[in-house]
Amino acid sequence: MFTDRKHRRGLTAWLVPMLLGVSPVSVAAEDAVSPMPDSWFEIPKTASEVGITSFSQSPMLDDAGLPPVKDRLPDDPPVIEPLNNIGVFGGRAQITLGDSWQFFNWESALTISADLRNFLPNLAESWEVSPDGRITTIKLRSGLKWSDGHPLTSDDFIFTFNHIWLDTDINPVTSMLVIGGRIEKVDNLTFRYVFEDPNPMFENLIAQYGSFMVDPKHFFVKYHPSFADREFVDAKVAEIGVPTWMALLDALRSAIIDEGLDMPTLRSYKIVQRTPTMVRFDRNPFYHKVDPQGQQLPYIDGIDAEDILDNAEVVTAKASTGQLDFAAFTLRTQDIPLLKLGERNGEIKVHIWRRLHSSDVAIQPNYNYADAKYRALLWDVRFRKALSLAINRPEMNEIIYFSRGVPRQVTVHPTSSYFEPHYATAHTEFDPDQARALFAEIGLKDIDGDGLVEYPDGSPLTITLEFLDFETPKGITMELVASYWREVGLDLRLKLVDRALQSARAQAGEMQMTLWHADRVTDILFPLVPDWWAPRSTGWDRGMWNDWARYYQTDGELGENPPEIIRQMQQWTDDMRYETDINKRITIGKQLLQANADNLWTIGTIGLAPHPVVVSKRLRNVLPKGIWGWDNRWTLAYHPSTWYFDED
Amino acid sequence: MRAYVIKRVFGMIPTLILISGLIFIVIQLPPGDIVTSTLDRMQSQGLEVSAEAVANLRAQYNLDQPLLIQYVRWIGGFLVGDMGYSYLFTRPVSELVWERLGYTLMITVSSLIFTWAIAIPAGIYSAVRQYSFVDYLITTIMLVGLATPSFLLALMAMYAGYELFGISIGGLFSPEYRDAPWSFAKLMDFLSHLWIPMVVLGLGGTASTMRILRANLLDELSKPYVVTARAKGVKPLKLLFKYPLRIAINPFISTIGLLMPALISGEAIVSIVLGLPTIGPALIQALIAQDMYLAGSFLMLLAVLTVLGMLLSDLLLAWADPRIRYE
Amino acid sequence: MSDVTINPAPAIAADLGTDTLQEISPRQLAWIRFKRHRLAMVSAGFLIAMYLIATFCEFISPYNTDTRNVKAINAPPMSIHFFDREGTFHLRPFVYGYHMEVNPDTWMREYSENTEEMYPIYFFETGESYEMWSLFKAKTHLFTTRGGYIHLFGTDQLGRDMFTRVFYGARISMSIGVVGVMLTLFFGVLIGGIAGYMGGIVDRGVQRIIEVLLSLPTLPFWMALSAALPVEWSSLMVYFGITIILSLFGWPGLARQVRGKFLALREEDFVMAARLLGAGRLRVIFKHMMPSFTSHIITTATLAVPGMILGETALSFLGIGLRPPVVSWGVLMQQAQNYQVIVMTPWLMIPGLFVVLTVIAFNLLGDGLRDAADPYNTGGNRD
Repeated sequence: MFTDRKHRRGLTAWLVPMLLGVSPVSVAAEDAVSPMPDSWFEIPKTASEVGITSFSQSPMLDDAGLPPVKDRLPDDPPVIEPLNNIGVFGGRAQITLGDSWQFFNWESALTISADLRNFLPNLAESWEVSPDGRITTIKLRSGLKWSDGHPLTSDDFIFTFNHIWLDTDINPVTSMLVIGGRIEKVDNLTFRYVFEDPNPMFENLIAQYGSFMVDPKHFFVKYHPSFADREFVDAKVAEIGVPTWMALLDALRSAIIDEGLDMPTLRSYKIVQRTPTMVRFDRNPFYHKVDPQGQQLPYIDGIDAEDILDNAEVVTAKASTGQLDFAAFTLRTQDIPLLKLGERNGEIKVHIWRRLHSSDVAIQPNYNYADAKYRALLWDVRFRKALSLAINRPEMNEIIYFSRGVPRQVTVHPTSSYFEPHYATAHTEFDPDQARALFAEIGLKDIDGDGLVEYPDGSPLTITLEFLDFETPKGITMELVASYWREVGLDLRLKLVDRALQSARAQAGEMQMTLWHADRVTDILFPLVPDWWAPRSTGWDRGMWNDWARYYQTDGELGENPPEIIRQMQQWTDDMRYETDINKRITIGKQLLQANADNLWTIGTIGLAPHPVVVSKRLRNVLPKGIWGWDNRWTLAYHPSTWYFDED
Repeated sequence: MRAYVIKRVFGMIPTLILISGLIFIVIQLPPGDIVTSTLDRMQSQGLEVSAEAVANLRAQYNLDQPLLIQYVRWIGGFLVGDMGYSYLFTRPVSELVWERLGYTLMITVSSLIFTWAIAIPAGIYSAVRQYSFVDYLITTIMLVGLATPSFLLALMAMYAGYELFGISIGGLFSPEYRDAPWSFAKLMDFLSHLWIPMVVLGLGGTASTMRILRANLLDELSKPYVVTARAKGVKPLKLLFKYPLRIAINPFISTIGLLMPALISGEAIVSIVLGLPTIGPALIQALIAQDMYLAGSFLMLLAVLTVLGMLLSDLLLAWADPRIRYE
Repeated sequence: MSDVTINPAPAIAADLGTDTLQEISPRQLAWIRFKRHRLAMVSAGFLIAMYLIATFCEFISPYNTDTRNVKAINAPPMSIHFFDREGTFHLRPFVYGYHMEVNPDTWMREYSENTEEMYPIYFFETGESYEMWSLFKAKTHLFTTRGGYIHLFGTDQLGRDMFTRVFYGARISMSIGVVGVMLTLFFGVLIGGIAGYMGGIVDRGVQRIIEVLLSLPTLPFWMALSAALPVEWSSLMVYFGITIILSLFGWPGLARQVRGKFLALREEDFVMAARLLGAGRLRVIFKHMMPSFTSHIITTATLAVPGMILGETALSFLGIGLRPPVVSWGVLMQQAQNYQVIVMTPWLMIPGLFVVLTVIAFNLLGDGLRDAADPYNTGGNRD
């Protein structure tokens, strides 16, 4: 990945925009692509490399009694190039709290390139993975500071790793991701993570999840029993009303309580006020990035994030009427017409990004279900193929996605180096006759003439699919799927459940069938957590094979021993994880994906769906066509710190 | 009178105890608990969680103890004002309650006042001018308000408010007044947002209240003493207010107690649709996530308010009508 | 019977059709008074019509609830025409097909009448097959088209006919009202009667329970109970579960009234007389005490139905009552309760209109019954 990076970057620099613009329907003028700056794909240049000699700050900070901007920035700050224009300081953004992880991001040692494959240094100046993959060394930029001015050093990372992640009170069971690892300090700016087994993809974790791997030690030592006076901590716990000191730390880290308002951060904004309805952020005067003219980012001075409890409708209404400067997270595909109607008032602009999800709905048969007859039926690959062929994806695309989604199976994202087109199109044709033929081949016949097939032995066949209708349009998709399957003779019953039930029943393997949307499909996360393609871990969002996953997780103590082919797939995930040679890793990964294309462990419907991103007409530098998903932290690679309000 | 008051107040206590037990049972009924919800959220962020983590988290939250102990801990804390800790919001429950209680009461009370302000004159008019055209008109409007589901009414009112008056959608304040200090302008802004939930909630109770008043009044007006007074030449309006109305109001007062639960329930739905910072939406989230302390405390609080309301109306009734005291 | 002859008041005389005074039973009197209440009569007619429709909804609707018309996604209601665009009169009414264009700016489907496609409406015509009352198959519909399609209330986002869904929904929603109220009546009268008649410690215990139940906030408890309904239950069982939960909050109020009545009546002379004459307890209750307030019970029941219907819509709105694929007015409203519907596809709120009309009808009917049942009052309050 490192040696070939430049070459790959060149390939994906035009591949990615092409993918974003392409749709099965003819490409209209509005789909024309906005080119992203090359610098978003490369290691960011620093101020000295660009030739910046002086820095400037927002007027808001001029009389705040702070040290000069040059002293607040790191010694040689990274330069971020905006999408279109150099911005101007000023303004406060009105958003909802639901978008507070997207409107500005969390900062980690590494960040993600806009090609969704490679990593770039962020807080780090450089990093290195040892040839055997066991050691990941990070060298921080010199002069980085927390939002209270305190320097950022290796100690902060060490504190989090040793005293939060490895602390058995806070985390009684160490996460699989860091097990067998330790952290070593080299000097104030350099540290390394050392693992017993090869862990070459730890850098993926740092880039995607690393914001949770660093905390301001100087702040937390006051509250952590390993450092602070135990009595003081207990008194604080009682005073604030939390049950334990672990809960106190958790509340502080999430800045939910008033004490946490003082907590230093590395993000571009820090919390200054919290009321029942609103969280206010002001700019972080010690933020470490600048623009090509030496202006300290971010441009926008502050954020007012409204807390709207559990009502997406109000957010949509507010967004379409221009009351929000940015809205995206809670918006849905079906909101697009209303939002576009709102565009006519001239207050907002509706950008259409694409969701990262490989499929908005990944139907999951439960191979570990108790009933043997049902299990045997599910295990027959012809049955699963029939289920997939019976779904009329083009029609579904038209009805739900305005024909702008992409019919596909659950596989990796097109930007991924593991991707092959036939993984996505396997068995996605609409062929109900073939489906019926396959049913007949298996022995499913309609004996009693009611139009629905029974088991070969004559007993009635009914499948109940329980699911949680959340985020993607699952409910309406399943109503269509149910009618398609009924057409070929399968009796599918749908049952909506809530979160608690989904969690309990899916993990216990009690659901006959369930579903969820499929993310973690890019190079960033797929090789690290390929959970859609092999049973590695139990989960409430994966109901296919939790017993086999438990077996793998507990080394055979719990769960059920999987069949040979499944064990092979589990082995491949291990091989991928420990493999240091990127090409070999890709080969293994492709084997895994091919196995899914052949076997259809899950059945996909439509993916890469259009996702609305509403911005105020005054907000500039927002990428018009991006990829929206957890893998790339939604906006991380697109530099929201360079967004600004136009003066008029 | 005092004996009656003491009797009623003490009578409340066993009721409240029973209610608390009922609340606790009902919260525990659905399978799963706050731990599963929390872990779901963690898992959806890519963190892996095992069964042991679940067990430990449960112990941390004191959920592995027998139900009776959990109940005692909860109710014990509630009595001394420690309403526990919400795992859903990761804050003490009392903080959440105080933030929202004010707005809840404001909306509920203003709806109640709205109901009376409309229902009493309408009821009087209806009784006095029975079967007139205006009578039918009023009745029809009241009925439509009663019949329309509150969330539909709220949605349409929100839309109308925005389209016709430019009132910002959602919440009780426009963005510019949200955290500004109280001023006349802020008060006006607040009222302009308040009228939607007030009308939507109040309309539901108006029809029945109006009809009760009308029926009572008609009852009284046909009584001999009224006829006598008219025959003796007492002016109609003076007559109306001197005796029949006061008697007709009596059973009316008892409706305060009955309206409270309905108003509070209705407030929850309306607040969800309108995005208001009141108890209702938080309560529903808590119920879904099975956040025991938050849901239980909210419910207990609402029940206490209701019981107090009923007590108040009973006491008022007893004060107004001596016959009742000696039952 | 008796032939005392007095000239009765003209109004009564007109109703009776005679000008001599006779004895009439209370029931006849009640019917006369009821007829005077015109609104109540209209309401009664409306409700009878709705229940008929609900009973025969499979026959009356042109389609099934899950029939999808891919050519009509989110399509507006059709108008019925007798004159075509040239002005020619057709005896048989017809509708025009849809002409659909996708708006490139809003991605919305925009519909207009396609005067090239004319679909005459045929009555008692063979159409899609359905199962009447889940008992026997049939194919005859009250009205439908030959080829083509007809959507008098428009369609939803999957292209399903709203006319069909609204009337199938009527069956569920209106029956929940009736069944729920019957449950409420049963428990309310039974428990209230026992408490009132027996008095003493039984009475005090029941009073305590009633007080507890009345002070609970209804909605949160409905939620918690609905969430506890096992997932394995079939739609039918969930339906009954929801009905029981809804009536759980209705019976305490009724029980309290019944109890009050019983307490009062217990002291009445005629009850004592009956007991002295040797009548058994049950006989006293049913034959002597109950008739006094049967009318009151009927009125209360009628007025309680709307509460049930509104309760079901509230629960379904929150997503915890009935859920798809069950079709009730509440479920239909849940699918239509957003801003986009109001602005772009308002016909999806037609179920709400029916809820409103039905609730109003029940209220007016209850008013009429109440006025009719107390013939010697100008409108008594018995709350």
